Amino acid sequence: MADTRAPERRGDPNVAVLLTWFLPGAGHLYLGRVGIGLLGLLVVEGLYALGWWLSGGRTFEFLDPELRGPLATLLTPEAGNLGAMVFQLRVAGFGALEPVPFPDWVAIGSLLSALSGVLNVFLCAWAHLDARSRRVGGAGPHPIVALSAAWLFPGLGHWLQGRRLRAGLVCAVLLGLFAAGTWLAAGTNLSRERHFYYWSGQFLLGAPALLSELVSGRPPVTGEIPGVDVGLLYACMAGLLNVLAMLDVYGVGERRWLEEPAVAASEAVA
Amino acid sequence: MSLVQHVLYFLVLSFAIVVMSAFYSEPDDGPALHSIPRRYVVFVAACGLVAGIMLLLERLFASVS
Repeated sequence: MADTRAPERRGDPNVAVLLTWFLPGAGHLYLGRVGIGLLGLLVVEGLYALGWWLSGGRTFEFLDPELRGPLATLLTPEAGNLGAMVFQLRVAGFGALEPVPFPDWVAIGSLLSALSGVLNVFLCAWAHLDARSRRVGGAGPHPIVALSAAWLFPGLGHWLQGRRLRAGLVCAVLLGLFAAGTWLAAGTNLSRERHFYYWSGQFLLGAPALLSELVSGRPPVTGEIPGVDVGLLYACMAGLLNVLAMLDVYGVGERRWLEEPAVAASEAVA
Repeated sequence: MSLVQHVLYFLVLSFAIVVMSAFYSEPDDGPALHSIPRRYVVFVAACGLVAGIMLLLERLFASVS
């Protein structure tokens, strides 16, 4: 007779996600996974703290004054680490009214706090998965490893799962779109200070966007750029479309992870 | 920028959107690849329809000439 019992759970997945969203690692602590919880707290909040220190807590001053408001930062990667973002808004807000020069390391600091938000989203997904199952094995890489890889480099998550054709096509389409956008915008898309919200979308493309920004040194605008609007749209869409790839990778990874080993192994071979 | 350039830029971005949505919707590579031409035509036609309706509404209700 088939076993129809519900899979063994550690706790409520929604509670685990909400706890992690507000305080990194809290969801895992709630589930009794103290080591992962403390490590997550240390890494995610450590990145945010380092980013705050380097930027002087002034990341949100990149936002144009007319766009500032209580919900304005919810469309930033930092929103993935909601507790830290709300704390920063309460303590530092959008800065002083009079213009003050930014610290030298503000761009790197801003990047680290954004990275903290993305990592905490992965931690939320991990807490949700851990709450639903005590399984610690399955075919292919851990779903969170595959998800992180899919963010880090378009197509890498699919590649780790053995879906090579899809990996190549996702990589070609998204990197091509990002490269075309960067060319049309003459590299001016590679600056959070200049294009706050477009940068947030572009950040979801992972390493290609980050490395391009670091290598380019954020080129200044020296004249009219005819294709800048299209370029910004292309680069931002490349990052947003990578979210579809990440969801695809996570969905398949989770299904394989939670399947019975024999079924998952036969699927991986096929 | 000319209208032709705008349309070409739109077609390029549409292709990326359609490819990624096809891979998201279809778990297997074969059906996903085969569905791309049909999805592309439907996407472009639907966007053209929306653009046409917007131009018509502008002509009827928002013209300042």
